[in-house]
Amino acid sequence: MNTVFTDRGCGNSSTPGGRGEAAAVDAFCGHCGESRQRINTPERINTNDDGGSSRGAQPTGGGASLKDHRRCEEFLAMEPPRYCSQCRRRLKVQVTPLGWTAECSRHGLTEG
Amino acid sequence: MTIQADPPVTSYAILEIARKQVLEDGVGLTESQLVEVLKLPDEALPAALQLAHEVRLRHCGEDVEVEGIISIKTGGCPEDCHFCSQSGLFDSPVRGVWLDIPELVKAAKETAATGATEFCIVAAVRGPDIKLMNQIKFAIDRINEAVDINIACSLGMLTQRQVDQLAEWGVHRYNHNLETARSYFSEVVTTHSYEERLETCNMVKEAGMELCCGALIGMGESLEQRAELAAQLAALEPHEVPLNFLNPRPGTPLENQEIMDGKDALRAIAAFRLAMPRTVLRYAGGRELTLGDLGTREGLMGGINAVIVGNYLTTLGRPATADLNLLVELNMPIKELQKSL
Repeated sequence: MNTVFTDRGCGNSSTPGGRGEAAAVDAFCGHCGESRQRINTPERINTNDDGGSSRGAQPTGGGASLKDHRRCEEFLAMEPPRYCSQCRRRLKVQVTPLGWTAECSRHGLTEG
Repeated sequence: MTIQADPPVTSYAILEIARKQVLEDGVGLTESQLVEVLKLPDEALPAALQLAHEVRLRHCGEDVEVEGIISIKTGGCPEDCHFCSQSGLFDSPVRGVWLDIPELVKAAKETAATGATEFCIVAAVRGPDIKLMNQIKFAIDRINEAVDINIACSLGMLTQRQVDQLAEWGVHRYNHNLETARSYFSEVVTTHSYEERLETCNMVKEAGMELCCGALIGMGESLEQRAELAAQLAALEPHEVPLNFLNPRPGTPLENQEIMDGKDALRAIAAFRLAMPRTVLRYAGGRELTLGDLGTREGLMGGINAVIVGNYLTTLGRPATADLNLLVELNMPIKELQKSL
């Protein structure tokens, strides 16, 4: 079973107010950039792979790799997304005292 | 005759000493005294915070200074400050971004609308080049046309000429942190020296700008080094000390550093206040992660007398309204704007 999240922009399902491509499926985590979907390919299985973010990496075993993104979700409550949830491109993020914007060169702007 | 040694000074005794020395006489604690404060047991923490609060009220008053900060140039920094996600030397997800001036002015207006009196423009650079200095000048002029707020800058290490220019342009305060103790600095930064940081700080003071010189604690330094930092800051006599707590950032050398214990953070707040009774002591980055909502209140009742409102440079803070409502609840008035330059 694939785990999918819906989103309104390039950020993450936990980030409000996205205005990118509507009703897109979150393929990637906005915090760590890793896949949100279970992928049954051997090269994805690496229980030591934290995807560049050591916090929250959880081996799943069973021949499938699915990083546990719950910790990432917690971080996304405290910081803007850094990766586009649709294409994994790194976002151009601008934080201001009262908000933030995150822009993907392909999927447009998300703001919070 | 039996000679009895003096009884050892207990952990609590340091608070009695501080009450006389800091609260009554206005003299900050020494480095060795600060170590004692930082080693106080948990049961002494409320008393330490209470004393720090009394010191703040007596020597600084009840006002709380509110500031907003913004990054005009994010990422791609050539320096290797091990805590910073904006270094171009680390595999950080933070991309390089420049903020345009209209957006900067908009942010200054929004910040002023919260009641903030300071707006700090920050750039992730070793030091500003001509292009950045020109942008800063343009930004200062546009902000001054649009909104009444003190402008502060944080642009890395400065030359004397740049210091003079910023002062001439009306920059009210300049931020340049020591970050950590001299004895620990080389563990955290290798691309420039502690002395280079001090040099910029001293030039800023001599030029008549207010110096904002902060600390980042929880980077693996010892309690003794934390006390050393507080003492070194006290010796520098900055107008303001922003107190940051490490928020370990992905891709940085400190990404796996354990988040600082909340009680240790509160002890540090009390210690910094007792080291610097008259300095603006500002809650800065990492407090949400380290202390949470409850800690924010305890810090404000434990020596803190300034906050960064809203978000930080690359991470998000508490909602501005949460801090502003808390100040109302605590009967702490927001400091009003005084254009001093």
